[in-house]
Order: sequence, then C-alpha cells, then structure tokens
Amino acid sequence: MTTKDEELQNQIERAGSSSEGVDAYAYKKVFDVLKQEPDFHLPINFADKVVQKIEAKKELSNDYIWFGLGIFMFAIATIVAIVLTDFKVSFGALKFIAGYPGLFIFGIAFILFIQWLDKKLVRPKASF
Amino acid sequence: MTDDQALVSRVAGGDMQAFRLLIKQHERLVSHMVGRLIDNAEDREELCQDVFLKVHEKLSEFNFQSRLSTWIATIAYRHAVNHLRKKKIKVSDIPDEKSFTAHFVAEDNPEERLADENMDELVMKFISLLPVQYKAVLTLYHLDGMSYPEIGEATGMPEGTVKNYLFRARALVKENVKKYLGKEEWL
Repeated sequence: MTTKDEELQNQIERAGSSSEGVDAYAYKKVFDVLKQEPDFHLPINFADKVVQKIEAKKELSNDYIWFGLGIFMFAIATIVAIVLTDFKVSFGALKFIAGYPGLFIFGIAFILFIQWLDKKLVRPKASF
Repeated sequence: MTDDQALVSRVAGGDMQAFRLLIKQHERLVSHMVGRLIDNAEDREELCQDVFLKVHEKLSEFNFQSRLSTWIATIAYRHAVNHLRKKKIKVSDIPDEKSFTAHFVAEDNPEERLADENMDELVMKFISLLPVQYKAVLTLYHLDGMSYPEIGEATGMPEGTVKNYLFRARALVKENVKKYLGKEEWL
C-alpha cells in the first residue's frame, strides 16, 4: 500500500478503469462493490412505524401527567379530610384481626389461591 | 428559507406528516450506515427506528450549522457505535497498520472460497471484516456521496483521518481481492 496505490485509487475514482494490471482490476472490483446498496432495506411502512412510536410515547407521557395529578389531588383531599374531621390514627381494626390469626392466614392464602387461578386459567385464554 | 429549514420548522411545530417526509428523505442514509455497521439483521430495523426517534427528540436543537443529512448521519453513526459497544464489540481502537494488514490479508484457500461465493459477495465480506470506523467512512463516501469535511463532521474524525481511513480501507480490501482474481478465471 504505497503512493502507487494512492495514484491508482485517484485514477479509478476519476476515470473508471483506464489503468491496466492486477492492482487496477482489483481496485475496480472494490470500487464497484462499494457503490452497491447493502442487502438491508427498511419496510415500506417504516415512517408510519416511527410516527406511531412517537405518538404512543406522547400518550404515555400524558398518562403520567394525569397519574401525577391524580396522586396530588388525592394527597390534598386526604389532608383536607384529616384536618376537617380531626382524624386520629387508630389500630383498633388491626387489634381485632390479632384475635383471629386463623382467619387472617386463611384470607391471605385465599387471595394467593385466586391470583394463582387467574394466572393459570384466565390470563392464558385472554392472550391470543 | 431552505427546504431543510422549512421542513424542520414544520416538524418542530408538531406536523407529523412533515416528519414522515423527513424520514422518507433520509431513511436510505440511515439504513446504509446501520446496514453496513451492524451485522445482526434483527437489530437493524429497531436501531433505524431509534435513530429517527432521537432525530425527532433533538430536532429543535438543530441549528443549521451543517446540512440536515450530515446531522442525521452523525446520530446514525453514534447510535450504531453505541450499539456495538453494548454488544461488547470493540470499536475504539484502529489496529496498528502493519499487524492489521498482515492479519487482514492472511492466506486462506481462495479456490475453496470462490467455489462457494461469487466475487462481489467475497468483496462485500472483506468490507464487512474491516474496523467500524473504516466501514463508516467508506459508506458515507461511496454510498451517500458525502465530502471529506462532511464525513469528518458526521464521525467526529479530522479530515486527514477520513482521507487516510478511506485510502487504507480500499487498499486493504484490494489486497485481499488480488489473491482471488487469478482463481476466478479458473472456475
């Protein structure tokens, strides 16, 4: 790879393959292939797919805004309710449950069982 | 106001039809870069989508210091390089000229290879074995018709480096092709 190569490259680029010899012929092959389009082509609806993604992203960010606003309003409403009703934190209900540990364990086991049934039987049918 | 400026201002104003047009005008440029630099066919389309999502996100920051196509080529090149880094494919170092030439133009069995592939496919294969930076420069120059300064801007390389890589890349592939030229006539 010398200045001879450099000259050959320039010649072939300017005037195609006017030079002779194996180097010139090899360069001609290389230059021809370099101009060929790669095998990879994007689908016809590529632009639509990108636009759909952008629009879905916009919708998602709108959803986050509404979700944040909802949380904020809930917090405000909770504070207002606590102030207006003079609410005090009490563990009375939890004390009641402490007296029935079997019922508490059954409740948790039942919820887990329902979730498992949902996962095994209902969701596979819903997804197609 | 140029066509690019008018198009960019329409996209910035939320006109998605204008963005569709922008994609149509530049999808070949992006697919050339991604198609040449990324071997995995499954990743290519997704990567092209990511490039245009980034273009849409950053278009308001585009200040027309360069052509729009050069700016999009920059994003495509960076995305492709980042993708290769994530896949743990080394892209940072250009190997030492002598050792790389010896490795690249190593002897194998030309007759056997030519029986399986035609010469164009072989040349394409040699191009695919080049370092990423060489492939990027070759693609922007030969397929997209960019000038040395534009390629420098798109890849972040000095103009002298662009010229050097272009020359070395073509010379390396030529050295490999030479080994097969005589054998091609036998088959």
